[in-house]
Amino acid sequence: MKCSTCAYEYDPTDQLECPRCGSTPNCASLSCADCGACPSIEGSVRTAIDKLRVD
Amino acid sequence: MTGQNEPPGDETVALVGAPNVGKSVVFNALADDYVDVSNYPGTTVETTLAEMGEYALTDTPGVYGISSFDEEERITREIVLEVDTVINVVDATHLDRDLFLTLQLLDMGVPTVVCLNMMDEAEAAGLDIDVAALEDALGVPVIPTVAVSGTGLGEIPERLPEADAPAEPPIEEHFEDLPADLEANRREQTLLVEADEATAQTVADRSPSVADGGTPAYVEAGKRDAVYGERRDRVESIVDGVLTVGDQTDSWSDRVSDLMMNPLTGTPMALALLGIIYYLIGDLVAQRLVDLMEGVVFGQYYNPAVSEAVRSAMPAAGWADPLTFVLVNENLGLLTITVQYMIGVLLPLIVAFYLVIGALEDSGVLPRLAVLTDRGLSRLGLNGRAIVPMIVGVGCVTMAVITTRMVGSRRERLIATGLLGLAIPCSAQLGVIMGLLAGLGLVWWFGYIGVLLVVLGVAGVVLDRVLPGESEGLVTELPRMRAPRPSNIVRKTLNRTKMFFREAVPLFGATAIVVSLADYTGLLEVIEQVLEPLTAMVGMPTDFAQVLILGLIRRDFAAAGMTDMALSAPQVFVGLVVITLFVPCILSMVMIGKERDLKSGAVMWIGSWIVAFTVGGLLAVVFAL
Repeated sequence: MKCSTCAYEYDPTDQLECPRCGSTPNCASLSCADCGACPSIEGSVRTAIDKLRVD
Repeated sequence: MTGQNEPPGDETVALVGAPNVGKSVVFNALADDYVDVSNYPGTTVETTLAEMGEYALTDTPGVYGISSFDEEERITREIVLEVDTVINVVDATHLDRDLFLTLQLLDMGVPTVVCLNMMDEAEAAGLDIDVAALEDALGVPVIPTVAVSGTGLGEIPERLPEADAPAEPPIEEHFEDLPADLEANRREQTLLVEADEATAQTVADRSPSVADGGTPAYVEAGKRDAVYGERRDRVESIVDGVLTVGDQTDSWSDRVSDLMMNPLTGTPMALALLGIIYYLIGDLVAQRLVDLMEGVVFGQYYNPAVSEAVRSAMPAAGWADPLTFVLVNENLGLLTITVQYMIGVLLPLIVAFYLVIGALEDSGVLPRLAVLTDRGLSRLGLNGRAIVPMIVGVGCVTMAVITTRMVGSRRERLIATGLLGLAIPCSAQLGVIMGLLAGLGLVWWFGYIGVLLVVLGVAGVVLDRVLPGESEGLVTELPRMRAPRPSNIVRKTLNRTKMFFREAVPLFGATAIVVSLADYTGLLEVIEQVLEPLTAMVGMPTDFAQVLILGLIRRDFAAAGMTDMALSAPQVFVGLVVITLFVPCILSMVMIGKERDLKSGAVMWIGSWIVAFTVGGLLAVVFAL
C-alpha cells in the first residue's frame, strides 16, 4: 500500500504505521481493497473502531 | 537545476524538508531573490539558487525522506549527496513525521541545522516543545521559527557554522553488511543500506569490479524496512522526550477546514467557491474586461493606429506586401491581433487566474477542494487536483492547460489536457453559444450540456484505459487553513505572470508568422475547400467551412461566425456541438505543444477532428439533416 501522506510503499499487514512518516491509514478515506491490513471483515470493523477511539 | 543567478559563495547550503513546511518562505527570507511561495504541497518542483552572504543557498523540492521513489526525491537526494550543509526545515506541528528526515540526514553525516518552523501553530495546537531538549537529543542546533512573520530566521545564518552531525550514528552497525572494498562515503553507505537503487547504481558505475547487468543489490531484501523501523523508533523516543501535548484551542480555521472536508457541508461550499471562481475569471475578466480590451482599447485605438503607422512606413514596392501582411493582417497580424491576444486577452486572464489560485493556495483551500472532488474525477483517470484545470477551462482553455501542471503524473496531465481540448468550451465561446441557444429554448441548452457531458465521460474513460500506466492517487498533505496574505499573493502573481510571458511570447510570435504566411499564400483557402465534404457530413451548408477555419484560430470566432448563418434549430444545435468539440484555439494548441509535447498536441488536434465530426455526424443522422 502507498502511504497517503508520503507515498512510501509498505505492507500494512506487517505494521499499520508507515515506517517512514509514521502516519497510519485512515479507514474513512481509504477502501479496504487499497489497504488490506485487516485479515477479515471483523478485523476491519475492529480496526476502524480502535481508530475512532484513538481519534 | 534552475538557477536564477549563479551565486559566488564557495560553501553550499541546501534547505531540505517535507512539503509545505515553509522552505520557500525561509528561502525568500534568507536570499535576496524572490521565488514562488505557496500553501500547497509541491510548489518547489525545481530547485532555485541564491546568495546568502558567503554561502550559495539552494531550495529543494519537499520530501519526507532521502531516497529515489519519485522525481522530487531524486532531485533532493542528488543535492544532499553533494551539499556542504543542510538547513532542515521541520514543521513543529508534525515533529513525529519530520524528524525521520532529520535523523536520516544525521545518519548520512550531513552537517545540519534544524529550523523548527510553525512554532505559533504548534502553540495554538497545544503542543509544547522543549527546544533545548530536542537540541540535546539531536546533537545539532535547533532554531525555533515562525517563518511567515520572520521570527527566529535571523538566527539561522548566525548558527550555520555550528552545523553538525553525530560522528558515530546508530546506523553504522548496518554498514558492516556492505562489501568491505566498496568505494562509498557515509552519505552513500546510508542510502545503500536503505536499498536506494540510484545510489547503488552510482557506486556500481564507480567500481569496475561490479559486473554489468542491472543495478546491484548490496543488502538483502527487507533491510530498508528494518533500517526505517529502527529510525522511526528513535524518532518516537525523541518525540516522547521533548513534546508535551496540552489543550488545543479550536480556531476558526479548524472549524472551516472541518466543514470543507465534510461532503455534506463541503460540497455546497465547493460549488459556491467554484461559482465565484467562474464568475471572477469566466465572466468578469474573460467576458467583460477582455471585451473592453479587445473592442475598445485594441479595436478602436491600438490596431487602427498601428496598422496605419506600419502601412505608411513600409515602402510601396511589391516585396514589402507580404511583410506588411504578416505585421498587420486582420486575422493574426504580428503587431496587431497577436499583441491584442497577448495583452488584451491573455494578460488579464492570467493575472486574474494567478490572483485567484494564489488566494486558494495561500489559504489552504485548494488541497481541500482536491480531496473533496477526488472520488468523482478518479473515474475519469484523474485525481482531485484536476478540478482546478476543469473549472479554469470553462474560463479559458489556454490558461487551464498551464494549470494541468498541478494534476500529477504525465499520464494525468495528458488526460486532463485531452479533456480540456475536446469537450470544455471556453467562456468566450460559451457566451456566443449561450446567446444562440437562448433563441432555440431551454431543451436545446440541456441537450447541448448533455452531449458534452457524455463526450467528456466517454473520452475520460477511454483515455484512462488506452494510456499506459496507472493514474496516481491523490497524495497530498493538508496544510492548515489561514487568511491569505495579499502581499504574498501579489508577489506570486507578478512573478508567475512574468515567467509565463517570458516563455510564451516567442511561441505566440512564431505561430502568428506561420499562420499569416499560410493566409497570404492562400493555404487557408485550400483548407476551406478540403473541409467542404466534412460540412456536408454533419448536415451543414458549405459556408460552415469558413466557421471551422475561424475555429482553428479562435473558438469564439467560430461561434460568432454562426450568428450570421441562416440555419434551422437542429442545424444550430449540431453546428454548436461540432465547433465545441472541434480543435482547441491556436493559443491553446501552442500551449499544449509547450506544456506537453508536439506529438501529444498533434494527436489531440487530430483526435478533436475525429470526435467532432463523428459526434456531429451521429447527431445529423438523429435529426435527419
